[in-house]
Amino acid sequence: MSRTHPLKSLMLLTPTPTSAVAGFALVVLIVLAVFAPWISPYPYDVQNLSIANQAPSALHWFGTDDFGRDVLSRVIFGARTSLSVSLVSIALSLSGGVVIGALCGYLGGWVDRLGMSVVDITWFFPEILLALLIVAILGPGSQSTIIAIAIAYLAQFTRLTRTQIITLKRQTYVEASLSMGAGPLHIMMRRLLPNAIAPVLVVAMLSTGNAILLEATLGFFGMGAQPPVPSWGGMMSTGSAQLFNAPWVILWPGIFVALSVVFINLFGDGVLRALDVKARMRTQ
Amino acid sequence: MLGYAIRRLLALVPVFFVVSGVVFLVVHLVPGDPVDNLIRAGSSPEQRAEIVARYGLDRSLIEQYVTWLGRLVSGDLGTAIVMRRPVATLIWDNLGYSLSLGGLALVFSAVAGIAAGAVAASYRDRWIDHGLMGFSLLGSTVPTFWLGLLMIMLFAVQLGWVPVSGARHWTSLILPVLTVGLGGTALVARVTRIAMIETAREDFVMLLHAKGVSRWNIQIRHVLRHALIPVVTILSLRIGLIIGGAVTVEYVFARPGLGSLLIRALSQRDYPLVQGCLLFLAMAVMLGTLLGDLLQAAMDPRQRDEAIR
Amino acid sequence: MLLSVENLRIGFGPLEPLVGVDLGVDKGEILGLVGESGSGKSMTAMSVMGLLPLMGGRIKQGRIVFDGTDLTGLGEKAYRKLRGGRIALITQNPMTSLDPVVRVGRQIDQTAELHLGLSRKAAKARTIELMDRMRIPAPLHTYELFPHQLSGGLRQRIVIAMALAGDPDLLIADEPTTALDVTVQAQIIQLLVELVRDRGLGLVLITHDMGVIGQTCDRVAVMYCGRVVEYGPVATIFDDPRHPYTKALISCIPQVGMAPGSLTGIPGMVPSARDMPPGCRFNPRCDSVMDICRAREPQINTEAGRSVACFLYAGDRP
Repeated sequence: MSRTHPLKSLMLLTPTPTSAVAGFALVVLIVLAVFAPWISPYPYDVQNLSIANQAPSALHWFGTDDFGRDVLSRVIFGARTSLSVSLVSIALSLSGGVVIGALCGYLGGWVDRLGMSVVDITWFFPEILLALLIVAILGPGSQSTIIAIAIAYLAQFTRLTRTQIITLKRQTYVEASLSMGAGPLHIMMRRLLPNAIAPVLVVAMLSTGNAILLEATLGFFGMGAQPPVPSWGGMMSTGSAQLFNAPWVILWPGIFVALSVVFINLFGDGVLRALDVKARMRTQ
Repeated sequence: MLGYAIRRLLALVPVFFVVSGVVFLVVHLVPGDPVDNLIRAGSSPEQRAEIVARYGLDRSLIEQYVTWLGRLVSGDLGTAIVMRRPVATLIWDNLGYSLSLGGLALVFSAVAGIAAGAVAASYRDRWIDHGLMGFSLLGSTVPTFWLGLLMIMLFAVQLGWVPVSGARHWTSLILPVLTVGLGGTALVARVTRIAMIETAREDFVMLLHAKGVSRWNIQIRHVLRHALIPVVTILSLRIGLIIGGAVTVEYVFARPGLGSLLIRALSQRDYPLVQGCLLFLAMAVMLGTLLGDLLQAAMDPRQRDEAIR
Repeated sequence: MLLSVENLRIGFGPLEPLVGVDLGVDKGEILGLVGESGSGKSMTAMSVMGLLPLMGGRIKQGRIVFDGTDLTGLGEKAYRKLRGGRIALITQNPMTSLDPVVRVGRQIDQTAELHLGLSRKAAKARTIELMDRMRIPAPLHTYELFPHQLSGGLRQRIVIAMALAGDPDLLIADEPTTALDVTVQAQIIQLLVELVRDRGLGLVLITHDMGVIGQTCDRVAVMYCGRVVEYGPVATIFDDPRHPYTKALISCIPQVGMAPGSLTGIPGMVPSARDMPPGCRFNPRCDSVMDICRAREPQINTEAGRSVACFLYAGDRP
């Protein structure tokens, strides 16, 4: 296999200008989140009731909230919360789903049936309700939110991996490996998973967008990160009380949520298309 | 067709058992003594004993489940701890509001989405296509509750056209329906557009042109009809999304309904009520999926026969 | 002449799938259009049907004269009246040619309702009759079926019935049997031949099977890379093929009693649209190639009712 320059590989992943812009915007968001303490103009929890509910101004670009806190700073720190929660929960969901799906797909039989029945239970509850329920059981907070979101998306990763493994299992190169005496773990790790993983990764990327939405909704219901840690959903929840005289408090977090999801979707679509093109090029 | 419907209905029975089992377990999964989850804090020992007897908490889980199921069938869903009324009554009172919101939102999503998708497909790659798809992308990326808040701000307050909240007048339905509906519209529009573009490439469409059928006729009577099949599939798979969206919207618009009931129950730790609402919402998803399947089979004769084999 | 295609040249963006097609067919006649994949046979059919714009192509040059009218200048509305009515198309793949969610009977009705203005009842009666004529078993029952419930051969009969429902004068059958079993192929061809003889239709039979041409057609047009390289009555052409490509095609036909191992092919491959060789497009694969073949394209030389485009037979040698 030839080695492609890493930068070139990165460029290959962004076939259209839109997806490149989206990718760049995502990088900016991640930078904002990671370097929040250095980038944000004010700390997120400094209260100053004398300047509460001020409209956006030169001092406070996004205005201030009910407690006089700078909205921009809270939005930047909120990015930290929302992005980290979504990424971790999707990573968790992905790992769990891949393991269970691969086992079910490869072993088949009663393992498959049992595993899939358990996972499919989550299918029948709407995402938000499932997440709300899990958080209600576990108590509010970031940890519970992560677990709730991870469980909500577990089913789709499991199903996807399982289908991939089942299709690949039947291919002749697996039979060839088996006939050469390779053990099942070896086959799984070296032959099946690497090929199965690509579409699952793309779905994971696109799901991160949904996870951000779900996290914001949970935060809105007070189930997410607890104060004073800011989260976009939580900001919108407390801000809704001042809906009419200080709309910027809910406006900015919402815009950022929407933008994050849009960028993730655009970038993810670009990656999908790039992978599709590469796969077709390989078969020609 | 009828045979197919009956078969699908029967297939739901084991699902119901699984779902109800999970709902039943909620009370036991929550940390703490199940008795505390079923009764108000500070109750007397007699009241606690009564609860133990009523729910059979001193017996095995299986027995408890069966008892619970038995009472379910006879219409007894327990009593809400905080509101001290039978859960079944509470649900019944609120069901109508949720059904009207969800139903109308579904219809709105379907109609607006199909229209948008069909127009976008017919004028493919022109500005109207990009515009519609961009708009629909927005619809699916904003949090539903935020959209609701924006709607309130814009229409109810600034323009004063419709009431802000509550459910006294039928006009109070407009904003909530729009909010939930727009999210679904985005998805339907995208699927319709892709389905129509792909269907138009099929061989039978070429032959229809060769038969001298007008382009308009082909698009609407043949291509759209064909394209609707995956649309119905997607809609029925995403019923959960619509119901979920309705839940948050009810809360934002302070509308009565199963959603607000559930959220109130969750925050008050009123588990009998939580169970009742969850069960109903899950059943709504199941029935919605079933209806979707039936509709699909009605539209695509190939599905009916495949199921037999 | 029912249909006469003169010097047809079409374009798809920068490409030209047809660069000069001349052929004709009369009432009660079968014209065989033969050539390998990519020769432009289907493109010719699409051009006659006026379906090029739908696929993104356009007519650059030439005429298509149908019963006295030049179709190249015809507006879409008028063309639609012809399509399915006086000129009908039978497509290649019966598996995908029929609308999967409409009952087959109704699909046949549609043509009659559209072009003959029949009421639904009258159309149904006519459809049943047509299905019977196509030897489709149990027409009343089959009428209610969906395409996926029928075999390939039956589906193709439905497609043919659909084509006939508008009472056409000209049928274009684009490889009607390629997707079918060998046993069914013969039946379908037989059916088409009978239709021509009984009803006096004109039929353009597009195929890559030279054997079928020899057995059923009156005239043959051999196409290669967008040109008609040889054209004339079947008897004459088969008896005395002139163009090297025609000769090669005829020699490829399996014969009863052939010695094992004697089945020949034509060396080389059909060039892709972007890689056309200079001069005569067949020259890389031709066994009688001359220097001039690589330099210039041969003109069509017509005499005694047959045409050939080859320097071997150029009237006036340069």
